[in-house]
Amino acid sequence: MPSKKPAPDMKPPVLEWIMGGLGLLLTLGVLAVMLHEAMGPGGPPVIEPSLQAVSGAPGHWRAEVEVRNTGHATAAAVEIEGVLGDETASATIDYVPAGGEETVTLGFQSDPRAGLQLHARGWTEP
Amino acid sequence: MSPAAVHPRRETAYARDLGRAFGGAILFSLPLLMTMEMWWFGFSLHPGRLALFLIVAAPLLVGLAYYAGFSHQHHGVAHAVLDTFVALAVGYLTAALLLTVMAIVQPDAPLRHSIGQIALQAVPGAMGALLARRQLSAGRGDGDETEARYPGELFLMVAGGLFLALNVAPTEEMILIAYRMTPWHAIALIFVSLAVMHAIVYRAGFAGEHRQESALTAFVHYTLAGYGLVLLVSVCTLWVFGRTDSHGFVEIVDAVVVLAFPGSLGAAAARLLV
Repeated sequence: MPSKKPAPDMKPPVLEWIMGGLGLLLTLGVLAVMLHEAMGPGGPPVIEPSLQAVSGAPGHWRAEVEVRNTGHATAAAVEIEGVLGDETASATIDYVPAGGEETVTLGFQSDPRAGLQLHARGWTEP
Repeated sequence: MSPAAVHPRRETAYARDLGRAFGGAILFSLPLLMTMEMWWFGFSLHPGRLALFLIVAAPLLVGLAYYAGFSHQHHGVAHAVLDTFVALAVGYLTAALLLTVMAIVQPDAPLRHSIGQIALQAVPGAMGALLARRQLSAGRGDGDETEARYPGELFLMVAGGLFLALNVAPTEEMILIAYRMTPWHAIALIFVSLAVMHAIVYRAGFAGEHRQESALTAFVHYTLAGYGLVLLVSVCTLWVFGRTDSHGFVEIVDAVVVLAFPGSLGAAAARLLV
């Protein structure tokens, strides 16, 4: 290859093609995910708290509550309340994304394994 | 492309440019990477809006790549498009790495949220990557922006305005400031924005050195035109972040004026940035 000197300056380096291809791939992938979600079913958040684990000792029990959002929208400032006999405990979660889950801990004097009632008191739209 | 096109020296030179691009991406997107609203927008924004943001950002990045570029060997629109995708890759990788290190992107979170969080941050990261050559290369090599014509200069103002506006638009404070302001505050802020913008434009920016334009002509051509564009940029940015939803018209205008203040500074200083 005798006469090949002006060409190198014009063609981008291979590394540039690799990175450019990666960028294109990532961008298209993200767009596909977003548009798929945008076209998908909508609907409000559906908040479902459930008791995961209990720890502590008589007098100060801790109930670990998993809060799932099985709906299609994010819920903000989610207030979770647990009622155990005449005891009430509550905690607020900043955000529970659609399809996501968060964990809160509620404190009780009696053992929450017996008859704890959990519900979401309310939330806002972000 | 034949395998013979691989030139080790050019590859390493490009790797160095790429390293600088990562530096620029980190430097410019760090404030946003550390803003909690941005993490939440990753999953709370409507996916259609996020997609639109990415689509609209693409031509803007191509424009930036055209005028600023990030490698020494770049010429023309085709190469600017390639530069843009490289910059986006840099933006995605930077955001993914830093958000993971800062425990914002969690492995057990739904994939869709992590993707949203990273994609949202990739755009400012890509802007930083494209600006890296001018900002981090100790003045070696000029971009094409010296020969930018009037529409090109307006474009640079939009890019500069968007860049600064993006850094503050996601925060709660934009809306909070708008709530606090009376109409008189808003009017005062408009005049402050225009005055500061014109001072930068005329002294350091577009109309200064190389032109024999009067202050008035420069004011109309650059300051007023630029401020108008920045107002539009502000509306779009606020809309993307859902800050215009369920707000009254006056509140939206207030928020736009607030956001246009950093935006106007960015637009005026675009020449210094880009």
